Amino acid sequence: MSAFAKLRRGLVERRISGTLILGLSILLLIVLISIIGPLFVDAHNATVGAVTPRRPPSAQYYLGTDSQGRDMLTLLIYGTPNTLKMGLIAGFIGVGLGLVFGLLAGNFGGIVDAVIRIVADALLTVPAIAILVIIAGNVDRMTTNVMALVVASLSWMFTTRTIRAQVLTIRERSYVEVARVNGEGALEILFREIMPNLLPFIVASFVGTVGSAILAVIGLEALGLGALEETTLGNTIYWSQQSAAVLRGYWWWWGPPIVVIALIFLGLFLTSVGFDRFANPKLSRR
Amino acid sequence: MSRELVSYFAKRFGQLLLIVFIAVSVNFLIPRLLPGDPVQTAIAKLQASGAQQSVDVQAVTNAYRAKYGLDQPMLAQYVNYWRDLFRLDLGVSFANFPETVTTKLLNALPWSLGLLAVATLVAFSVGSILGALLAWPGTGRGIRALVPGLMVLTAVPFYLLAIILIYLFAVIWKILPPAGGMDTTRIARLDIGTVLDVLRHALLPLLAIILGNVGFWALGMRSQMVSVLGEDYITFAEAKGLSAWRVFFWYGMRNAMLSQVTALALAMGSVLSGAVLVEVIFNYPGLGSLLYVAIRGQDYFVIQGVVLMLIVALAGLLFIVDLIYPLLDPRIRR
Amino acid sequence: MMAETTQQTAADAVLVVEGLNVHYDTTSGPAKAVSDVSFSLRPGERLGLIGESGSGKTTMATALMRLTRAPGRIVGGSIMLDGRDILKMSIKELRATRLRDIALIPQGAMSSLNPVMRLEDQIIDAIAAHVQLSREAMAARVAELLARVGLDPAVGRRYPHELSGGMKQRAAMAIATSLSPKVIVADEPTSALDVVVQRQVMQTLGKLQGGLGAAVVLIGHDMGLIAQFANTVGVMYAGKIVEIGPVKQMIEAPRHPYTKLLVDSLPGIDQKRALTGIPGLPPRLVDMPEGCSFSPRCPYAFDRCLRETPLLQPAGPAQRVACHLYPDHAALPARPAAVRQEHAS
Repeated sequence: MSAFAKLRRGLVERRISGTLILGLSILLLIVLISIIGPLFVDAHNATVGAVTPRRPPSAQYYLGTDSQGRDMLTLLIYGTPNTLKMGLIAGFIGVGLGLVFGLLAGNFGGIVDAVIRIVADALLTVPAIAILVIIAGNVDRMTTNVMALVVASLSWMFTTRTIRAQVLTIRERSYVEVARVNGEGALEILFREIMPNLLPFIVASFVGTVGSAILAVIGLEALGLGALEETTLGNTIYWSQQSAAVLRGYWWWWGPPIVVIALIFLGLFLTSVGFDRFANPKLSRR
Repeated sequence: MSRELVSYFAKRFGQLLLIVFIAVSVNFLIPRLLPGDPVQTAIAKLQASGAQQSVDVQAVTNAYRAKYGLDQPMLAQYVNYWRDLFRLDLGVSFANFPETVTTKLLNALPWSLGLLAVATLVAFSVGSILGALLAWPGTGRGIRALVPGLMVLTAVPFYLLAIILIYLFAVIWKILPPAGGMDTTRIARLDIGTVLDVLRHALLPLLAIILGNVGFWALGMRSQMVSVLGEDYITFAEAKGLSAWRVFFWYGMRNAMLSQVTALALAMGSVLSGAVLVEVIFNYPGLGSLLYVAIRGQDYFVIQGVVLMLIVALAGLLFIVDLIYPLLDPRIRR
Repeated sequence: MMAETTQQTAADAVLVVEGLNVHYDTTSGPAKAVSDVSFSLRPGERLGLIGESGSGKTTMATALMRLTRAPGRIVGGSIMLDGRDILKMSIKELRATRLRDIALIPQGAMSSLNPVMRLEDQIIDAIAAHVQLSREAMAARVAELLARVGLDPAVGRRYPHELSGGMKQRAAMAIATSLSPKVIVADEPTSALDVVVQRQVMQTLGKLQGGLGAAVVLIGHDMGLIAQFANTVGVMYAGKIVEIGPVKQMIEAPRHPYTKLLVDSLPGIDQKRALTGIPGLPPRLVDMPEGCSFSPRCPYAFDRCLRETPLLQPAGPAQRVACHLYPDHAALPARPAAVRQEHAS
């Protein structure tokens, strides 16, 4: 069946729900702004002292300026892709590690499984923010890439758990038994029988990991532990806090970043809910 | 209590200890794995910032060299670390020398505990009931209209929600204080005035955490409830002629709660993290603010102490949830 | 369109179902799970409704107590219980009627009991929803009900997962009969159980019913089981009743071709012959074509069968059948081929 026919069938059976489409659209919109945005604004306006400080939104500065003389709109347009980048890097690494560990644990069982499981549970017990704060506080030169790596180091556990559980279930299924009887090697079975059935879980874990990574990154930045020399959404909020922007009523400083962050999370959330329905048709009949 | 139940608890407790052991070791290792001598770095940073003139740098350095044997091999340090932990000696705060870390922790703990416990309880209960109602076919339109709103609220990290709340309630409407746990000019006494003051200051932080979390619990409960309502025992319950409320609560919610409680356990880590950030934004005198101030001031041992406390608290909470679960699900009791 | 209603619309009928229609909303249109079904029950009568999967029998069971859930919908007809229409009652009246006047023994008692409640609490809340009893009276009643179905009263303290399949089924029966209902609807009460337990459960059901003098609608697919229990048997196909009558006549002289195939497929322990089944598959219930729904699989089918849907009409003493062979023929002809030729001309 052609991809188009499959898409049509998906829509008809209401598996591709409005939720999924809405979620993906929001994310797409944000990505578009990140890519196309820089064409419309001058990067220079995001540096300290570039424009008149503390101006509310006007025809000249669409989103106003902050107390250090930076144009908000420019900050937003350059900050969003940086934040997204960190989330994506952490997401890929986190899911990658999670996938490997989950496969190892589920497939080989025994001591390998026990070790991976205990370590994952232990790290889950540690409040991520605490460890991240310690690591971040000790790194000399923080950049967005380093932040992404730091966050990634604690994002693999959930994926590992999910994948491990799924591998255990799938292994008991009859088609795996058949493959084993047919003489397929362990590695072959892994790649040919088990992996394809893990795809929906991998996608779902990816969306979730990116979400929590961005959450962690923004949290660290809000505490002032981010890559302060770079423009990101979280850093913007941090600077606004440092200048008591809330109490002084400069809502255009912290407002827009919050809106963009909310949109990112909303998009991720709707996508994950919509994707659940897509992957599991039984849920779609509500 | 049956023997199986006792062994279940014993196993869980054993796992708890193992997990705490690993987490605490990680707490020990990480700073030491990073380059530099921690005490030296900390003191150097202090001197560079010129912030704490009241600290006698030499005295502190000597105290720590001797105490922590930082010139000793890693293994010996590790052993010392555990030894000190068992004596509940968590070190001394640089910023407020010679105030011990333990004292600072104990001062901050009640604030955080109160905030988190109340907020989580309210968010979890309200969220679960709301979620269950959303799944019930008999619920009115008004409540259903809340769903999009809840989804949006879930999307905003609660520390950012806190900013919006401060702006609305403290700056524009000026009805609640924007920061602090208590009026700083007040002397703390156990009287109505103090209690009310504390409550006034706690309201916004509570609201931030509750609003940020309630959506998550509601939507989770809703999907659990939907599965439960499709089960045969619901049909049979209705066939018995039971009232709508009975079926909803004793047959529906009671079963959906099981996975909600599991979800609570797993989510605790992130709830804790978010709460820490909320405290920072509100300058609320709990563990979160303590951590933040310690970071800014490079108060190394305080940071370690707070993290340790958080680890223990979380592990303890998870253990308690493990204890509660068999009470809720009789199938686990064997 | 449905002129005659039931075998006997006698004044003593406790349950009268007329023109019941239940549809399922699917993405391809409504599936007519139950189409124009009518029958009546006298007190103490045992009606067995038999059919393959997809014949609409489970839909019948839930519809009788108005328990139909989306995507199912009751679209028409009436269910008169002692003169009151279940489909028109208010919710309050309906809840009061359930269990007290008409009770359900569910198909999967395995999954019909609340896993987090003790058995006795599930019996107590059922009774308490209808009558007020003191704690001691309630406890006594629960013990009595459990004993009546052959369960030790101590079983009441247990949780469902601690009971065997047969025990759970009997517990469900205890609940269903707790208020001495006038009608018991048993939806395939033994399908998930092994033969020995099946027999025990059916015996218990018989005993209970006899003791209460209740009417029973036993729904299932096992012709042998139903024939042993029921006095009247109704055969369902594609949502309709195609034949209904006293059990002895139905087994010995089935009139509808489908009934004959069902009876023939019963293996006899003293005969040695090849097992026969019924060729073909049950029809889709959406967009059903004109004519008799059984015609594609019927060995006797001729062109009238493809054009016109047969209605239930009397054929023989106390028997009714929906088939175009009647009333022309007195009984089911022996050779199908001859029939087809005869009608083709």
